[in-house]
Amino acid sequence: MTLISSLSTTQLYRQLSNNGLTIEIGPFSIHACSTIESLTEHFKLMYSDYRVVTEPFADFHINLKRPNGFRHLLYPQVIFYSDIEKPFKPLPLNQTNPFFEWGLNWCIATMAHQYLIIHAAVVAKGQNALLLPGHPGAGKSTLCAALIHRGWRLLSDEMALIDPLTCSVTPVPRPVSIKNASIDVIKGFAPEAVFGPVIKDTHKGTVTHIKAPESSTQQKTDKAIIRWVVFPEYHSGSMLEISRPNHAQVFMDLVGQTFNFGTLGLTAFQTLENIVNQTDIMKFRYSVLEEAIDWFDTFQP
Amino acid sequence: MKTLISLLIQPEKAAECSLQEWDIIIRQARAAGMLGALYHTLKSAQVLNKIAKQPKCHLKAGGIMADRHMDVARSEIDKIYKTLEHAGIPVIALKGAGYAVAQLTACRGRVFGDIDILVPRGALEDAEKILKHSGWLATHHSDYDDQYYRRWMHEIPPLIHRSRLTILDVHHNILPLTANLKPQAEALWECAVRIEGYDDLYRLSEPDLILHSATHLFQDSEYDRGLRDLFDIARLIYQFQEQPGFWTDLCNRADELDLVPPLAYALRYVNKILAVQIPLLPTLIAHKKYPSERKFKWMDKCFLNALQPHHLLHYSEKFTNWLLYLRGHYLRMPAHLLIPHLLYKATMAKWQSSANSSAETENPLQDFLNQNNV
Amino acid sequence: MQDTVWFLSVFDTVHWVEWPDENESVLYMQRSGETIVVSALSIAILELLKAKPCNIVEFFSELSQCMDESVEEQALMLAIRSNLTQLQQIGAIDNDTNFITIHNSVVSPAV
Repeated sequence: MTLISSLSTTQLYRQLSNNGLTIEIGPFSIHACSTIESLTEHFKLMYSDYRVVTEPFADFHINLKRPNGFRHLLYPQVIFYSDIEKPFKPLPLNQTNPFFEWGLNWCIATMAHQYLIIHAAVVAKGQNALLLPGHPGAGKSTLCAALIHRGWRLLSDEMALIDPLTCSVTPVPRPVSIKNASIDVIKGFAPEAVFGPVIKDTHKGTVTHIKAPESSTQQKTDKAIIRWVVFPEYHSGSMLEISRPNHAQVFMDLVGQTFNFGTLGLTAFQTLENIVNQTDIMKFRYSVLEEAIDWFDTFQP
Repeated sequence: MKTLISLLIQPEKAAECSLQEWDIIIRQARAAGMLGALYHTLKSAQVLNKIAKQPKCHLKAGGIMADRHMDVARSEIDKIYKTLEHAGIPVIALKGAGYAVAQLTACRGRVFGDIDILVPRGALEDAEKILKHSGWLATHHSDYDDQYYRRWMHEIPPLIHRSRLTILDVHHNILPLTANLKPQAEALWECAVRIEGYDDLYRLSEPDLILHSATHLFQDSEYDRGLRDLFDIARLIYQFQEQPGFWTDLCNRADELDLVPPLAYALRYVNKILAVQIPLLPTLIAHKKYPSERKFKWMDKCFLNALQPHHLLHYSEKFTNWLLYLRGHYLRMPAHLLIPHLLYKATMAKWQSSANSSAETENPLQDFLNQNNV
Repeated sequence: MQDTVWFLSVFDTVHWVEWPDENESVLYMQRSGETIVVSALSIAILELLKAKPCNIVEFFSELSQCMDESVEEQALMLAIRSNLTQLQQIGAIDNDTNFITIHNSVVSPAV
């Protein structure tokens, strides 16, 4: 079994820029192709523990290319291709690495309909998963980044891949995206975390990625059952506050956070019904990260 | 090497496909908008259990998506029908929505874009008024486009539902009034088949379904769903060809509606590309509007490429596609009207859209990133 | 209007999930995909229609039996009518006099 780490930077670059490289990320094989050097560095750092796939089938085909034309000389850009499709406008070239991650999110969310996909961070203790559905600004990424450095296993920082039949979550451990003020917070909280380059002026502000801990990547086939659903809300200066919202409100919140609710139809409705009925659901307000993590530590299945 | 088309023709061969072949086939199917159609074809042939897990996941996902599309299309037709029924306006459901509501095999695995309906020409104004009162809004377009749709085309400008965001095209005929082929809308109504369970909702008759699909494919200017539309025609033929008098009725109807060339092309290409067996049709071949050999050869050059899945196109094929785009527009509008239209579309429209900051110029998928904070 | 007979929609199938001791439930239309929060009264109406079509008098008669005595008749009637309208708008239910009702109104509501 070949891991990315066994390839030298030169070998990695050569493969990515010629026929491309297929890498196993969770349940998916991702074929990636690019001549842009920063992507090679991104793979070397963030995906070093991931398996290089030799089988000739890939679930998604991603290409990151510089556009043609002389305008590109003045404003270097990168375009994301999902096979022959260009779902997005170009971004500045220095955003190639996050573009790969955002684009891969798009691929999964728009094509992997074997799962019910909820916009949420998912971490687990053993086989017991904690779902943190993600309203923007709620702090789910910060919490996720902190929890995975305090004994919780990372299943995903962005998308919960839920099997509609069993309500189990399939891990797809990937670099955890954090932004703006959270970057310094996590650097302080988990100094052992492996950070990628910090990129400014993206549509989300300043962003960086943290490598998924090796324990998470090693357990990438271990599914977990959702036991807790916690809607986080970061509120500067507030005390730790837990509340239990009514079920209908939770249901509708989850509908709003499910990428493919419409596509999965009745199956989606029934899966959410099971999740709402079979898990412990809370709303949770916090301002101090340590306090929040300590509270999560009390969770017992 | 097996491809999407070879599996559409011989689905049982799916059991023999290698992972490498599946990698290409899935991509071809997705690019052609036919992943769901492929899934249903393989399901009907009972070969799904012989397919490797990874490609099967994608086929199933395609099937899920397409099945949902069909449910939503049926739901939309129901709502539109109920709205217009109150005013006594009969409706013919066209294309995909028509296949869905009539539950024809051609709908299996199909994904839907706009909803297309036909109403009597006299009722068009009332229909527009009633729909606009029922939550349907005019889509953003310039005065020029508005005139184009109303005066030269066979439809009112597309409507969008304010909450469901479905796009609705309301036609009174299946070709623009200025086009060089002139079918009679009344003839379509005469033969329309009522859908079971509805008082005033119809689909086109069997020959008209094929003729409409052929007209749409071979007169229109957008070919990126060409293979999907050709496959529709193939499935319609398979479903109806055993009916007594089917081929005679089809040829007679093409003559009656003045649609011989599109039918000729449709039959030629379902045979050449999808291996559908077409019997010899002397009356059609002898028809004065039946295309000449020279015309067929020229069309072969264009269509045999354009109707392939658009995956991995080469440059020369893109040029051929551009020729077809021109041809499509030529057939819809006389030449003296055509050039200003295309020039306008290419230059003025671009200037306008870059000057506006309306939502239509944004990439909706970019919004996906922003809205979902991924 | 009293004779208007209501029934579950033939064009779509309604599903719902409710929770004991909570007044709000979630309703889902299988074909259109519409998902909304509805009151317990709406669920009670749907349960009655599952058994058989009803007119407003029958709704009132059945539902008033489950209501607290302090609930005024008029308030219950109003609530029933407003829930019926909401259910009709989402496509869960329909009635047999729709044609006449809409024809007489100036602006038809979104269906």
